[in-house]
Amino acid sequence: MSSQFESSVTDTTGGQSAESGGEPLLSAKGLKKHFPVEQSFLDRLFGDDEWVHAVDGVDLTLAERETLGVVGESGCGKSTLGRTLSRLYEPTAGTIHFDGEEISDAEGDRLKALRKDVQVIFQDPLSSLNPRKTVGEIVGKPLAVHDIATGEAKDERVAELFEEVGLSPDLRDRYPHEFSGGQRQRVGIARALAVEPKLIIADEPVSALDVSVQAQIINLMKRLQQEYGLSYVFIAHDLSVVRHVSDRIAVMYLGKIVEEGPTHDIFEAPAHPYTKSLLAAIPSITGEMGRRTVHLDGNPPSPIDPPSGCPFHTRCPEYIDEECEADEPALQPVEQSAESDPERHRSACHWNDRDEADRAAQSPYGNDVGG
Amino acid sequence: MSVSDLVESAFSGSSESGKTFGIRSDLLERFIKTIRRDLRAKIGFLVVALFGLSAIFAPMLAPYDPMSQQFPILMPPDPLSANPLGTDSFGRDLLSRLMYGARISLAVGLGAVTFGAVLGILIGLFAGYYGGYIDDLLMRAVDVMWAFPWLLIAIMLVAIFGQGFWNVMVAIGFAYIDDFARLARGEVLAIREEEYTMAAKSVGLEDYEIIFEEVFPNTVAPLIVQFTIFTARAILAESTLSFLGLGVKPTTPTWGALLGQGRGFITQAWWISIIPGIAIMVTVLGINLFGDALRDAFDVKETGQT
Repeated sequence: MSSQFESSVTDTTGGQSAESGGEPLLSAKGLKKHFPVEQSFLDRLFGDDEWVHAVDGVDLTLAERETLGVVGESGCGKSTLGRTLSRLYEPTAGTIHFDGEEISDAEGDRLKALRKDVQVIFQDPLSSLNPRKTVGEIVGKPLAVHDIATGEAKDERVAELFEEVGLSPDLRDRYPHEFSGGQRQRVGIARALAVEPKLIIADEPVSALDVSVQAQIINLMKRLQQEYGLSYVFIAHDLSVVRHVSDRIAVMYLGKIVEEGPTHDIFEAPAHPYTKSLLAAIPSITGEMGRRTVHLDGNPPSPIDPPSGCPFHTRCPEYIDEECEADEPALQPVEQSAESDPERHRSACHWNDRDEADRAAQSPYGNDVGG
Repeated sequence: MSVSDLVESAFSGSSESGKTFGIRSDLLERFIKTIRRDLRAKIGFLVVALFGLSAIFAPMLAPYDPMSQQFPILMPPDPLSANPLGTDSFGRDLLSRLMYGARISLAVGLGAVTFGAVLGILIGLFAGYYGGYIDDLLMRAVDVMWAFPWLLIAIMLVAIFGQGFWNVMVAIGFAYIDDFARLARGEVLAIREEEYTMAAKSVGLEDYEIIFEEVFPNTVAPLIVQFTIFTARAILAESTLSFLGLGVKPTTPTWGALLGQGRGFITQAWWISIIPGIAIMVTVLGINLFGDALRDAFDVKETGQT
């Protein structure tokens, strides 16, 4: 059964994969999502608008069967990015292409077709399941909505899906509150899988779970990716979680991607000061000698009134000069080490144009972060 | 023969599996379970059943015609006589009048609240779900309703449209729209933040399906409590309007009208007012207890023992 899905997925795209460098499954350009700040009736009447710049100009691509990890602190806009990419939120600006089609303005039937191809796994497995529905109904709903199966065929398919995610089909008449966190997330995965999507946006799918259960869920997701030929956008605040699942990683700060690259490069040769500080924050059991810990001070600035220039300049341990406050650095290719691929590893920092020796002299990380 | 046997036999054979508005059919089982284990629920159910049945079957059960003036006037209650609850100032049998009165009072009470609940809940669901300008528009309109005393609105509506069963029902129910709207909206605002509404959207449900299948069933518990409390209030409201002479029709026996007619004789014949008063009080209490049981039945997390 699974091989059948696999072949059907690859057929439709001509067998492209992450390596082939063909047209990406998903790509976003200049994507923005701004929310109005909750205001009183009178403020709205007089048009005194304030906006939260949750996602503020994101470019990204995702290839068939690839996993892109998106990381950043809480409030950096990564969940909003996921929901905008899946069209749960209307983008404020920018374009999204999925499977060769522009989807940022899809409506009606086109949007419904998109809902079949793009599914979402949510962060809180209890909150994402309607407490008044049995888990069987929850998993069967997408089948009915998209006319995939009804009646007995639907029941059979639901049973298959339960088995696929490691749950006994006998449990389908139970309610969500009767399950453990890990089981609930399996139900959430089964629901996402029901429509045989091409892309799953996983919004911190394991951060509400025990560490031991996290590994099970991640392994399940990896197995399903193989079986169904899925692509993932995997959102997390924890770098060590995305490390295990991602082919590439994008680091977000204040609604922008500040660095992206292959997982290995990000971990072994991070270029952006923010990525370095995130890596430095990962607890280590061995307590590597010589590793310097640098703590970021305070909270990220408010996305209502983002800083000028580089969004990170207010907290940056490698702050250079006025240029950081005046000009916003663009994402550009960086060459961090011999094995890194400058075509795919990009970072947005003014150090990219400066002398590396000066940087090494000033940086609190020294010259060899992560290496 | 216990109460629970009675309840079960009353509902036996009606456990089909189907759903209306996402509300589960095992509701009935849960409801019976609640009544079985909870004394207050039993009392509430008995009272509602007793008054409800005597209202429905009044023409068969009532010993006399409620309008016929065939007895001596102002006879005090005597359980062993022909008029167990006595007679009024025209020599009419009070027990018969009370049973017929229950028809109007309960029907107007339930009807008025249903009217207010349906409109109010719809307003609240849409205002809460969509937010923004829709919310502003709907809720400001509701605030305007709220600013008027209900009695004033009811009197105005009855004055404009005239007396009569349906008019009185609407006049009373109109005043409940805002309460239901506000309560429903508050619930929706909380539920809208739950990820399952997002999940429903990502599955491909339309807005109206999300509102009625995902959101509404989760707002039901507090709305049921509100519904029963307001049914009790509506019965009182009908009594108030009847008492003022703005009720269904001056000659129709309703509990409020009975109570009002007795006020001139309160010193000589207390029973004419007091007995309908007691009937109102017991019904109101019974409905509240019944509503609590219904709310428990709606809670899927209630597993059995409390």
